[in-house]
Amino acid sequence: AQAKVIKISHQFPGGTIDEGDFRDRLVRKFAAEVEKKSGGALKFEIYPAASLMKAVPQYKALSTGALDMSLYPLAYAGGEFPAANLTLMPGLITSYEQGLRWKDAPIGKELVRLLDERNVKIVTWIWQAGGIASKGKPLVTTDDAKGMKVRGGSREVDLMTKAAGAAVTNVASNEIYSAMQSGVLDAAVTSSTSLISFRLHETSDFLTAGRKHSFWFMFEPLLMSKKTFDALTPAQQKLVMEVGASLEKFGMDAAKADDERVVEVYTKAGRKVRDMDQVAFEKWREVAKASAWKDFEEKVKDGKALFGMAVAVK
Amino acid sequence: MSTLQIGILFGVATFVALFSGMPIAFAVGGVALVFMLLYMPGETVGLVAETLYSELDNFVLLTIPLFVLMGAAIGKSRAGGDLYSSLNRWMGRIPGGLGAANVMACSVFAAMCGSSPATCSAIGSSGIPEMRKRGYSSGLAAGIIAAGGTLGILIPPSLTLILYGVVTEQSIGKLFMAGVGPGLLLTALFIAWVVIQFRREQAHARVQSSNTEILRVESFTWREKFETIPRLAPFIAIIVIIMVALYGGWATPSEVAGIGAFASLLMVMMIYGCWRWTEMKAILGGTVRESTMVMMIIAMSFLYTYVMSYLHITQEVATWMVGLPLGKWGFFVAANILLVVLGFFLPPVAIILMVTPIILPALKAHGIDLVWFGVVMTILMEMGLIHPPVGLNLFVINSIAPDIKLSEIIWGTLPFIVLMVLAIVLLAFFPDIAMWLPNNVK
Amino acid sequence: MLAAWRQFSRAVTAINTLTGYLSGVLIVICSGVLVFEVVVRYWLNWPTDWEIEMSIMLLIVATFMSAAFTQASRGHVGIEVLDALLSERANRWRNGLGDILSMAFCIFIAWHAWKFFHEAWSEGKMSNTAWAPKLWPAYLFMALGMTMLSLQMLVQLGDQHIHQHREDEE
Ligand code: NA
Ligand code: NA
Repeated sequence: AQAKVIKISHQFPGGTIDEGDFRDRLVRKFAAEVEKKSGGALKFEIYPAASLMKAVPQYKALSTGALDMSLYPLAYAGGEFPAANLTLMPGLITSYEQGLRWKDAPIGKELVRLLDERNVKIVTWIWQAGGIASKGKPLVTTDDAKGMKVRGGSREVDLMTKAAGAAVTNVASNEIYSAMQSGVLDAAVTSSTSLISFRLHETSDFLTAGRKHSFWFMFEPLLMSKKTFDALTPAQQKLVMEVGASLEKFGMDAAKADDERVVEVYTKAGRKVRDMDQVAFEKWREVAKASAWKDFEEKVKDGKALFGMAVAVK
Repeated sequence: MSTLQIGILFGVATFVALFSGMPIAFAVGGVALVFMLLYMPGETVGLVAETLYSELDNFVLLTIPLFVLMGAAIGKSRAGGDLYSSLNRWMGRIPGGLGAANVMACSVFAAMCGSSPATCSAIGSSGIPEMRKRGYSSGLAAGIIAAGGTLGILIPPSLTLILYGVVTEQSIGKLFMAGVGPGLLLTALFIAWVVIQFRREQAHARVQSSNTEILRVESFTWREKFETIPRLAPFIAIIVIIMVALYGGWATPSEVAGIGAFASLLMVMMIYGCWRWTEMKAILGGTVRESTMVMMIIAMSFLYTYVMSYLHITQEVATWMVGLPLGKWGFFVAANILLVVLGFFLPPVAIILMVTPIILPALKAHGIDLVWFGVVMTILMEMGLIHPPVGLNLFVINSIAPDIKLSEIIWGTLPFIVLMVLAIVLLAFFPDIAMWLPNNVK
Repeated sequence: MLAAWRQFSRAVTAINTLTGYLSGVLIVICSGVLVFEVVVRYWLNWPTDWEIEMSIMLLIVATFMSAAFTQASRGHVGIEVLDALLSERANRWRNGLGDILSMAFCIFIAWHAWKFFHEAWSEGKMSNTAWAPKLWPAYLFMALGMTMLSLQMLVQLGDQHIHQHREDEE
């Protein structure tokens, strides 16, 4: 029989299986492993750097079956699937281990069920911590935020930083570099890996590292369209899920490694690195509770119940 | 059917549709749609409106209408004529001086704007009619603006260089600096050609004793020259405001489009008294006609890009090329050819995203400096903007000056493409043209 | 019949001319929004979390709502090399066919844009930003713009046909 070709798209820089952005490497590992174990019955075409479609609409494409797979920050789907915003809720997740425990907890089961209704399957659970690059002064505590022009990059983070008194501003992601260089932007919040790939170490002065404590944990799973999944044989379905799960450890280790690597890169570029401590984290969480958390509980259908399940995971 | 066969069919269909005379936007979009219906799953067709919208949902791209408004405000009011007659008093004695001034205006504008069609439109709106008024042939006037406009993506800030930097993990700061030298080199080459061609057109006019306008040598006293300064002041003020806004941390490169448009409109209203409806009508009508034309082509070419990417055509060709047994320079030439051919149909951003990840390992293996290659690649992308069949800048000019035939624009632009090839050859032999600045400035 | 067509044709062109100029006004408003953004952010340190998104919507609406206006003056550029090579009759057929294909394409896109709008409207789809505007208005104007563009093409095809018919009779 002819091999079935599965298209995997993602927005991160492309490299090889051994080198480059770990999110791209994870996808390539997945493809190579499944291709090998399926005896070549399943083949993959990988589209890095949003070279197939824009980042945000990947979710819709998955749910309609127009796209087979994507490594996707689930919170991007928050416009049509508001519950997804829980997966980038500032201050909610405190460690990688806690994030991965979602998988077997009620919140994880509920998330799987909600996504199933929307024709999307989670193949690999991946969480990633983030930090802050800033210019002029460090942004570590909630007090630092006052009057700083901050790009949060997501609805929930913006709600929180705004509540902390920051002048939240909305700069296109491909303009963060120039905006930071000229001073339009004082600070940008994103994942450790993206802090490196956006090359903000060239234009910022400070890094607030997320390796110890971070209010920013994002869920960016490897997803598959249910349409694609259902078209596989039961043995292939099993294979996909097994290989997917087997990469969770790689994802976590690589994400942790990037939390350290970002510190190296910024230090080497002569930037000053600050770690967020427990006290600062708690303060951010207080602000988040009163803003982003509250907003979610009030506005999202079953928001309270979902939140209850999420905070129950220790 | 194999990917290669589909790819060839896709290319042939595109040529037929484009040369059928259909509007570019609908020809490109139509071909994409037909191939979607034939070779792609129905679900992708169901998302066609979403695909179009999500590609347009990009503020950097959407600065084009704003820059067009800026150009139209000046070009469709008396401001443009005033600017050029003042410039002419300073440059009138130099043969081709006004053309050279236009090239320089393009490169100054390029330093404020990251988009090539936008640069082309903003300078061309008044530049082209004023040059033609002074006897420049339509082809030369069009070529100057089309080619000068391409500098928008080479001289920093440049959107394509930022993208390239992220994709290849190169310092964007270094890439920006590396763009300066070649940007100046191209400016100089363009000016040299303008002067040569202008003299030839003058000589031709002398023999034919036609086109007396080009032969008129105007001479102005210093007094007459200095009289123009108050008239130039508002334009200089706008340039200063934009530069300060951009480099002083007020605004991002995209946001300055809004400032430029607003300031220009304010200027023509206050200083040139253009606030009657008839005058505004000309500015607004011209703006939407031109910007919509360009934006529709861009939107539809994204649909086209999506189909080409989905069918894996570009990627397979690039993979095939990487597999060829070539040496360093053989590979370099092959990569150049590939990028030029892709430039026939695809916009720069799409080419960078699709091709760079595939050729990157080979570039590294051949020991090609990635910052240097980024600059070469940008010049190749610039060529794509002015060579047929889909050359966005050509269409911008066609829209600014509808009475110039597209074929005339293309012929007028051709020499500039040759100059760009020359610039790439020079860069290959003297890489320091690009690399001196990033290597020596910390 | 002919009179009714004429009236219809004139009405479509008039509406499209009006929306064309209004689109120009939208671009001007957008430049004002951006100046506002820059001023309040730089000098007053206000949060500016809606201006860029608003600008994007204004510019997309302006683009689609002026497509028909641009078509009315044949402003969508094409490559006209065959004009000089073919006979007048062949050109007429070729251009007519090109117009019909262009129209078919635009109708297809318009149809899908209406579905796109309807979905966003019935689901109350919002943008996932702190500002969180509803998305259906922008989609509505995309659908409307493509529809008016298709109508403008239809009107031009009809007018041309009538014109040609006249000439052939004379
Ligand atoms: Na530029
Ligand atoms: Na081209």
